[in-house]
Amino acid sequence: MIDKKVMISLKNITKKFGHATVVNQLNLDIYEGEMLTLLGSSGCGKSTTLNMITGSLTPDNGEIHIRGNDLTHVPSHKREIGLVFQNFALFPHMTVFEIVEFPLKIRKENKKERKVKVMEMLRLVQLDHLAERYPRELSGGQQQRVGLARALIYQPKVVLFDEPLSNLDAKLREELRFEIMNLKDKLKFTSIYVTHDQEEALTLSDRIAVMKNGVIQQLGTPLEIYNEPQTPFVADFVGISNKIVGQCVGKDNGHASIQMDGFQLRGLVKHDEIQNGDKVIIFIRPEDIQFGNECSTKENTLQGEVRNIVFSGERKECMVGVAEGETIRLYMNKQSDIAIGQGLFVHLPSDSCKIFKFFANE
Amino acid sequence: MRNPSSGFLIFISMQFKKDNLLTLLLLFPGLVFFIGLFIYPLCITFTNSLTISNHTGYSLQNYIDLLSSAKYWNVIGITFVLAISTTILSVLIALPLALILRKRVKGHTFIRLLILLPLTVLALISALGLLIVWDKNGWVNLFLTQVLPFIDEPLKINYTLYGLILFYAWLYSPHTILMTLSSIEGIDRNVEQAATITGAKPFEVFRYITLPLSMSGIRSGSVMTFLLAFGAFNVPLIAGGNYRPLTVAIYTEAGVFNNWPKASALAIIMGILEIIFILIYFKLTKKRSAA
Repeated sequence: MIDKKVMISLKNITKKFGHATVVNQLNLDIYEGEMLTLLGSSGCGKSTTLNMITGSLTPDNGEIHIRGNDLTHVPSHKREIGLVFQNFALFPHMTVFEIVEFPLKIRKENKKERKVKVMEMLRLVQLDHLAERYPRELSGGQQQRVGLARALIYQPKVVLFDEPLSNLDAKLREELRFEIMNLKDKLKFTSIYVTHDQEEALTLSDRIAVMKNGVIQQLGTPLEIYNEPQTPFVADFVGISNKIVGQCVGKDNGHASIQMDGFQLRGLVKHDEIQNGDKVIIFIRPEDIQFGNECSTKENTLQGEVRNIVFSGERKECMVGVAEGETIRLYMNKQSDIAIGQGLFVHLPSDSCKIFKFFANE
Repeated sequence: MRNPSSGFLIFISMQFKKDNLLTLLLLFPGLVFFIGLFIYPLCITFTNSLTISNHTGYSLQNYIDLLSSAKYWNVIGITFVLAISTTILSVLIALPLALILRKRVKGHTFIRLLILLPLTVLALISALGLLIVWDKNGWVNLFLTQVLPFIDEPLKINYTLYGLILFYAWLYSPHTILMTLSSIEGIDRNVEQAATITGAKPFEVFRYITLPLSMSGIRSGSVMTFLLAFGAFNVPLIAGGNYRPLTVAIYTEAGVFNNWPKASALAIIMGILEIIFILIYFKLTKKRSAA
């Protein structure tokens, strides 16, 4: 990170629609060659942020710099940015070839060179055999490949992705995800990727910015975001977690003891200040939970009963009832022969239990 | 050997076998309407056009007379000038207007209502009203000469060719405007945004994206405007002055000189000209919108 140049810099950006502040004093630096994901649910301001970078919206406050130039008030067509749309936004009256050629055509490039470049780009996205087709004659995946080719053909230094895979089915989504990564390695562009799909964000990005209510909640590598959520929102939004609500009854160097109805757990307190008596929430990932037929340690081990088992393909997901109204979700090997109704000891390692102050709109 | 017409009959009878009585029944009113009120009069007109008053037998004499007379070529010319300039004017009004209206500017619903206004008023009433408004002593000229300090002479609009085109445009451009508006409002704004972001200037976006994508609406709307302007009768009759298009000429032959065969021949010529023009127009614009 030391020698990396800042490519895009968002400085104190604010955007209001009427009385609602959609993006609130956002500061963000994106480094050259990096793929940064803006992750959040709908209405968190991620698309608005993207639209301000493309120039279709102007921020009420703050500045947008790309490669050191202030582009806050430069019109879209002069920004030299690539954009891949969620709904593809291909030109319906043009063939695949013409669509990909369009950016070069308006740059008044030589016709022969244009043809060579377009065919090369189409080969890169594996569409050279469909050059004469119209968008309506293509499948969703093929259409988005055209969208990619159109955004990359003029070699923009910055390519933005606005939920590009949301309109595709699961298999295709994964396929195109790898394709985008490959293209990025080959063409070395800097990109901002907007999505609400946390799996997409985790697999694609170099860094993720989790957004909520127009504010970045946490900025970090996928590993940091997943393993070390700094706010309860991030812990809840990224990945699947068990959520257990209780009351703090004791603290000792970074850990806290939490009292629930009928049982007690110890967990890690890192990012929130917690006092004795506070209402808190514990997050623990299903894959961090250990279980067995015998009780090995006393601490953070609960006895429960298997309530439900769901087979999801690569594993079995198991709901274990540990107390009145409290079930814990954990993952089992798909060959596991544990059955519904069986008694089970579950161990929640205290370092995997992350304690945050209770928050209302979880 | 089967000739084409017998093949056609076999095709028809096969259709009848397949379809049930209900279809025939449902088609019946439409067929009666179409044959009784369109095909039959057209046939009468056509046979009429082949006769010569005070003579028996059929001949093409009426057509030969008409097409060899400079006077009637002049009439045809004026008809085309009127219809084509009206159509062009209507497109020139429709495009910018549609581009503004789709942005839902303040008062856009009011403007949408105004567009419909000419459709709600009878052409005859409109023509009379326009004559009054644009008169030498009408409101427009009163405003121009009395209020604006730099215009002394009243504009000559009434009974001039420009005036007639202006009247036509007022009456017949709503069709072009409405169709253009609906096709332009149907364009996905993302598509235009996509073009902008790849580097297209606003004019290039219009030229390469917006215009081709709204071409179907412009085309069908302007064809309607063209046909209405080509067939306009009331307006040129009372506001045309010396400019007499085909409709007025036909009326004069039939109504004033009582020469129905000649009038019929003119009507048939008018119909053929319209069909030819529309075919050419569709060919031309189709190429444009596909490119």
